[in-house]
Amino acid sequence: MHASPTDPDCGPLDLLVIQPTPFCNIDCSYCYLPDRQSKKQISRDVLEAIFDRVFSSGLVERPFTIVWHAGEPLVLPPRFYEEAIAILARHNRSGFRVEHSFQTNGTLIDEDWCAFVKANDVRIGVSVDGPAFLHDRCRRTRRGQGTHARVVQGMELLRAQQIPFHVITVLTGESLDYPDELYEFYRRYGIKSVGFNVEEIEGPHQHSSLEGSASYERVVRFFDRFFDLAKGEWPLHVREFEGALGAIFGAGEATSLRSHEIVPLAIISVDCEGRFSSFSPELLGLKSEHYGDFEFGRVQTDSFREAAQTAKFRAIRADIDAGVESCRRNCPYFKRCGGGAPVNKYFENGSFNSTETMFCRLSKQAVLDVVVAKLEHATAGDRPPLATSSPL
Amino acid sequence: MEQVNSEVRVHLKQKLLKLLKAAPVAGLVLASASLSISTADASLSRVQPRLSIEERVTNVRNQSGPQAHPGQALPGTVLPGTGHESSETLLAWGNWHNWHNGWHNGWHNWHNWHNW
Repeated sequence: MHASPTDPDCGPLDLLVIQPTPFCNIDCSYCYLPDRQSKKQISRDVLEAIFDRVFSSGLVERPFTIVWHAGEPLVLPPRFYEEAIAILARHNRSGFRVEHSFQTNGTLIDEDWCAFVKANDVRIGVSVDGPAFLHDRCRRTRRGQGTHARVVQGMELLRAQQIPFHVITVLTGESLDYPDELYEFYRRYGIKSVGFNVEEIEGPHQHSSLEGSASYERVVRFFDRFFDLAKGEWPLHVREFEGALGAIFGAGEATSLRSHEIVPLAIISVDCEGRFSSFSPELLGLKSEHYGDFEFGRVQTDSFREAAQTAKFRAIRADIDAGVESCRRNCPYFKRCGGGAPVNKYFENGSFNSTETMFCRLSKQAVLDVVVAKLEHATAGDRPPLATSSPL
Repeated sequence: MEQVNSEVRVHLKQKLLKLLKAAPVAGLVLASASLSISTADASLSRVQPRLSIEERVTNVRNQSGPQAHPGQALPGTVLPGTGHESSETLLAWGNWHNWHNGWHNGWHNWHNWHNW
């Protein structure tokens, strides 16, 4: 069977992750990127090959997003991205809308970067874990110095230039105790949109401070409190709550959601040397005892559609599909989730063909439990107990 | 309480947290920076599910009407960011966030490329 752009099981492309460099100028303790000390850079030839492959693949049917990631994107200068955007434009002959996103550690934001963001209408997010006593526990330089002051400086510059940005905060076992302090931090720095990533177990980061059955209730309590804070005098958009609302009200009674991460070639991630993968972007660059690695080809020599026909791709896809089917049969949250994240299944359970993970419990189930309880409260007019449907 | 220096407050809170974690106080957690303990929340760990999550979702969907839509179908004051904002505002999150939190939100067609 040849993958076709109209095949509902393959694509269309929604997200293209490009690694401009694996290097990161800081060294967070929970980072999953294995080569963040490497100073390699993507070449112009690889960029040409990426965009040639993308726009000739038949997978581009609608606007999609490019996220420059898998290393700190701002270690390369703005002129690099100006050139990359120009290369993309030459290959984008049909003029599809392409949105560029940067998620940065915020330490390198300066006037030049602000000018670039404004001129190119790109989205920017800053990774910051709240006040210094939380942030500097994990987000440090290679010499062990905290980075909070530099991140705050970067955010202040964005604010001064009136550049909208969101923040991503990693929730650790420590930070769950401080929802109020986090909220005050966001308010103090004028932050309006927040996403919370739980500290995950992926690749070289093999343990999380959130491991253990007690974390579920702690996360529920965190989000329960934060929900109330976020509708306070400084209203916050919280990605997790808005995602849960989409999951609750977007999926019909007879349908289930479908995660991007389980759709072949809906997400394509390419490293700085042209190697590419699909499904969960974190897979690119990680090793596996079972599969060797998760690389499906190189843009210099292989098309995405050809790669989807290889034995390795099909084996991984079959295992992912089997895991999703197990979720469908066994998980009470399936209709509001769609089958979980393959990378978390693999690195927590040892197989794509598996079901619940810590990531599921803390990022999906806990959030859904809180938001549904809030909705029940809003519609019934009284506060229900935060009954958890979790098997925990 | 509001006048207490925030560093002192954090320090006190850390100490109390250590005490609570060390003690077998099942079901009790701190609920806010004011160190209050919510009695409603205190029973969390003992509450048994009354309904499945899907039954509860169905109920809130039904109570919000057949055309339920975030920011429109629900009481305007209850949901963060939905009080006086349009649904477009809710779609402000970039597509790649679907990957980072793994939550493809299931909006139909055009919503899918530009979720939330």
